[in-house]
Amino acid sequence: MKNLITARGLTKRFSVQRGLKTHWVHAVDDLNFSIGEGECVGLVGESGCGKTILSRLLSRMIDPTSGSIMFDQVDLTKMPTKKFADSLHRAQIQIVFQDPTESLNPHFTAFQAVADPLRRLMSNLSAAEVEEKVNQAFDDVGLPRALGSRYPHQLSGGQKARIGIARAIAVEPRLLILDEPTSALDVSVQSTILRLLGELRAKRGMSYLFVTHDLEVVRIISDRILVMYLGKIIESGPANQVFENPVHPYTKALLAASPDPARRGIKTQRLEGSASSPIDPDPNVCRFAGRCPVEMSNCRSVMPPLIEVEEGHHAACHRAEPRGAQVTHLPSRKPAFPNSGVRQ
Amino acid sequence: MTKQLLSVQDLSIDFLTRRGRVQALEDVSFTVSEGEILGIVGESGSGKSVLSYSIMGLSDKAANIRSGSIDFRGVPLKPEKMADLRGREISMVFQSPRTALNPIRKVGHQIEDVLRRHTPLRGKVLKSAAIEALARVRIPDPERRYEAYPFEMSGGMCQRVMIAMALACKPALLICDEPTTGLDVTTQAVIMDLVRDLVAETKMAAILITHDLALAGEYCDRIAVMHAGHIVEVAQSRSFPNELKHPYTERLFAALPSAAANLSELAIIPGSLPDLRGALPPCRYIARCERAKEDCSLGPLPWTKIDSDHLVRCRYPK
Repeated sequence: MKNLITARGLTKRFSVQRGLKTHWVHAVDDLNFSIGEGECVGLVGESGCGKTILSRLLSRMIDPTSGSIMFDQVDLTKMPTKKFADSLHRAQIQIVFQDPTESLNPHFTAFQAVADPLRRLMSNLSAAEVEEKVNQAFDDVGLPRALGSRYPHQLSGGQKARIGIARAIAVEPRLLILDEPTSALDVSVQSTILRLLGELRAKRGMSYLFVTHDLEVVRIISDRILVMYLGKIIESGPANQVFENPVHPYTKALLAASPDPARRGIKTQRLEGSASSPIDPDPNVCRFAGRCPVEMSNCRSVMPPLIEVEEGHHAACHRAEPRGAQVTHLPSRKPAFPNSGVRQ
Repeated sequence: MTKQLLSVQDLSIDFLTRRGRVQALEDVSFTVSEGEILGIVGESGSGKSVLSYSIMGLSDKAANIRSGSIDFRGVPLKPEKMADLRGREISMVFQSPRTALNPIRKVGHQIEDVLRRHTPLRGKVLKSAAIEALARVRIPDPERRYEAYPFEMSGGMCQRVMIAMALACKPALLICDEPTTGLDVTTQAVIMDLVRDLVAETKMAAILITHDLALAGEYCDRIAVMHAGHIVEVAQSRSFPNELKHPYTERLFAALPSAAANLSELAIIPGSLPDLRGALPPCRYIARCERAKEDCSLGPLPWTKIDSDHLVRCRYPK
């Protein structure tokens, strides 16, 4: 599979002033991943872990602090935001936003909402062509064309979600970033939208980055999963492998937290507390330390690197066994970057 | 046999609107016993919230109780008595903690309000009771959190404050209206474990209102499934999910991502909820049902008894 988009060392920091000192929120920290042509990658993590920042970085709504985003042999981070807005790439990376109600302009009819990006990003289209493309998008997401004259408040949640999707796919993107597209929807509407997204991907050959905190949703829709915790990818791999054989204790905890009637009355170990502060985290301490049920002494002195545990399945945990390792005792593994491993 | 706490009998509620009479609830009957968690499951618009608000006596002015009764400890709930019961005997945890809490008051003071209304506690004792209420819902460092404003806390922490407030007067019945919508799965699990443990500790009864059948299946003792203002199935959670009989319940379960191996197995529920204005067929699921036969549109809909504690409102249960 050819890579459509590749992020290398992608980092985003926000400054916060506390008194005279400037501190840094490490929202997204040194991410390396790629999304293939036609692939659906699920991005999972709790709120505050940097999922939304990552989706904004990939769509160039915000500038990264460092790192590169290669899309079609072009480094998008080298392109000024203004130039990007006019470039062809703008239409090729589209976002479906989280809350279908809040992300639609209440003064726009459904037709206008879908036509607006077409007029802005494909300015050479005639009015008739715009109308044709809008109608095509309505058909693709299964919305009756008659709803085009309605305003958001006259539509149901499921219909608004469909308009959000129609608006994004009308300009024929190659990468669709879906930021929690179903978390505001009922289970019954969620299933129709998920099925629709599956059909659209097969029909249009788009790649998806599916951002959510619900592991069960990514399991059925994604080819590959990235698990994020406090700005870092802590586990990645093919969806079925991550599900059947989760390695990182955080992934395990996420899986155990999905409600399951079969676990009725059984006490499960839960993740207590919340994530530690993303402000100036110690680079030598595992981000999960403090909440981790299987913490060891070196978790607070060496940041665990992402290592391959199975083919294509990576995890960043000192307890993870590298692929092909026969020895089962736990040696203190050498850090990937010698300098970063030692506490200064 | 545990004591019955709440009994709702044949409750029908209409909303009188300018564009007709909306039949929001029809012939809804169920009971809740002490120490039990009842799950009420359904899509939005199925009448779950109307039901919980009418138990709390917080219904909209347009609501018209056409028939039926709500008995609490064997006595009908009277609107004029509700202000005394609410928060003391029957409490509610609302959907979004951030909007339900007062943003400009410290959470400790908001809990004190409840205690001041219903108990003779005043002064320093009041403050310590509020801190104790925060500690009961396992909020770390309750003395410090007493002084916090809602915006200083995470969504999960706000929801704990909501639960602390609801439990401050040790109510006999707790109604949780989608308590974990909008929260992370990890936080959801912690909050639901807390509700389950508190019910077990205090012999309180709880009603969990949710659209997530899997969540109800994990935490509730019994489940009532609602569709368009009707309860269509009441069952023990242990008969879950294999023994569920109503076609809607089956579909609702199959629509959960956790129940499907892949995307093509994920069921979709055809159609949408019917318009609740005007004349409605006896079975309100008929237009969406794949098992519907001609006689489904005739006569009153029977309750089919599957088991002593499993009822289905369908002529052709599975």
